[in-house]
Amino acid sequence: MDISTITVLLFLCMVLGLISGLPITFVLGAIGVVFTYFLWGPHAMGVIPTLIFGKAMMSFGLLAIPLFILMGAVLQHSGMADKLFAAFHVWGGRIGGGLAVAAVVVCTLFAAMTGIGGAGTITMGLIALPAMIAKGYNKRMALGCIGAGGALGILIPPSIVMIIYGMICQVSVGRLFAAGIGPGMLLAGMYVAYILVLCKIYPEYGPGVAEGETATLKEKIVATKTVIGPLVLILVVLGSIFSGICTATEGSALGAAGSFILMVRSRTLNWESFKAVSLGTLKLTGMVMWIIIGAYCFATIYLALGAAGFIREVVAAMPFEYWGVFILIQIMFFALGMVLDPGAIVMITAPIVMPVVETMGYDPVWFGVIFIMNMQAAYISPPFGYNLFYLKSIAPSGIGIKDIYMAIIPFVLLQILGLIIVSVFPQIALWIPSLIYGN
Amino acid sequence: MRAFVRIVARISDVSGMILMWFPWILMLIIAWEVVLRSLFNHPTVWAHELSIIMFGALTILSGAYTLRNRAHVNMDLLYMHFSVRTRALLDVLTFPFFLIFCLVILWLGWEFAWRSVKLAEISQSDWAPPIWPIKLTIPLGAVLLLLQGTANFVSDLLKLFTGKGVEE
Repeated sequence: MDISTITVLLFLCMVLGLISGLPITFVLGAIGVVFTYFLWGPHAMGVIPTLIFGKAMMSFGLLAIPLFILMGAVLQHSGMADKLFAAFHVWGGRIGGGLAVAAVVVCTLFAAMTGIGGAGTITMGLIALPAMIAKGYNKRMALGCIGAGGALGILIPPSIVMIIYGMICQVSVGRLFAAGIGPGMLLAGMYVAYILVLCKIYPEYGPGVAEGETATLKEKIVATKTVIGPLVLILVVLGSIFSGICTATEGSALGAAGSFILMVRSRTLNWESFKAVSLGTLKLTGMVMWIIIGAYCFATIYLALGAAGFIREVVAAMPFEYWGVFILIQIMFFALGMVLDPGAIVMITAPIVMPVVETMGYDPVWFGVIFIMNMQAAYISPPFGYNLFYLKSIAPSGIGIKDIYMAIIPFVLLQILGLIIVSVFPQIALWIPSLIYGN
Repeated sequence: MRAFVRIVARISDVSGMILMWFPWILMLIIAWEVVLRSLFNHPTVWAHELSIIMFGALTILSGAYTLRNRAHVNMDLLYMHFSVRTRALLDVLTFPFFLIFCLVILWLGWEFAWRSVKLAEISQSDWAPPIWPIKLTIPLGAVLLLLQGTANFVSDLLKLFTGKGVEE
């Protein structure tokens, strides 16, 4: 069989496997072993345990994954989100749309303390959504800002997808982390601006708190104190990584320890919450790490096929230039992002895409950030985005999936606009890493 | 059959109760190493390697507990709209693929680990811990995963034919 027949067969099997509802890791793993066996015989499979052992299990870089998951799980159970939301609420309550802005800001802070996409949406959805609906906010705006804000988790450092991207594509994780800050701020700023403008034009979308209900200065100061702990934590984790004192993995250990201290101080630690945090971390670690294991089994096919050389030839023969190829790749990523986990997408596409990145002369750090912005948009895009189902699972009854779709569309458009801006002005992503690490 | 499903679930739960400590221990080892190195300029020879070994065990052994909670991510676009019975049917039909994957990891992982055991292989580092125990976790992880997957399969079969799964 020639390489294009195999490729078609491969992707047909993948689509069928995914539709069947079999977990992604087993789909990838089974395709990997079956194809390798039938195309090259049992001998070619010998590389599988070496890959699992050497690349997945014995990687100090990937060790950051369970620790960042632990950090996020601890913070999620520490009641930190409630307090942060309350703090921004007392300051911004009077402005039209203030609660929605507070929700975006807290999602952004949460994104800087956790590495996954769903955490912000779930925590904020449980806290901010009922608050906004009680104050008579427009349902769709409330849902949209939480869905979009929560997705910032994978763009703003620390980010587990960035760790996987960095490991697979041989790009510095520290640089990727630094490069996520600018675009993350840009998007958060765009959401805030959108909410404020919308509420200026339609005040009924986000009514401000009446004069008599505003907080006193003393209440404001007390509330603001709760922000100190999380801010110190963010500074310690990102600061130690960016200053070069720590690797990303060591920073993740400090972050987990710091968030544990915050949890102890907030008196939410007991055996039940400890067990929930630990077992939740274990489950999520198992999920992420086994996707990596499955994807390595899948990657043996590429290795044996010599796919990289083939792809280079295809790209060289394509009638598109720099931006044409770039747009094609982004469309492919977006389509994959709606149905697959971002980590799995990195693993599956890296052997194909990285030779293209090299050939076309894209900056790998910038390209990584664009990839993640794309994943973020796919993450919340109707009809299949994962974050939409998280939202649905926590939304009060009476909110249907259609409300959520309508709610999220303006934010998806904002994200795509953000992606285009960062594509055209790479400095938004690359300026901070160049400040920290030089060129 | 129901007893088999319950016993396997118990085994996976025990693995979970043990593995849930690993992220905390990793956190302590690495944070301790950072403190020793940056404040006292006195790094250990063992922290780096020990943390990697524990992480390796966590990685490969976590699969079974995750599967026990059906927490391995899948594309649930269509799947989530099916009835419980249809889902059980699909799970039964896809089981052979899961089985092949697990058996291959078990078989190749065992060969890979056994070579290391026969050599009594140790790590090429100053600390030089034996490396064969961590390699043995690959077949162990595959066995645990295989057991849990088979238990889920049996439970799905029961659901399909009796309309009732195994309550735990």
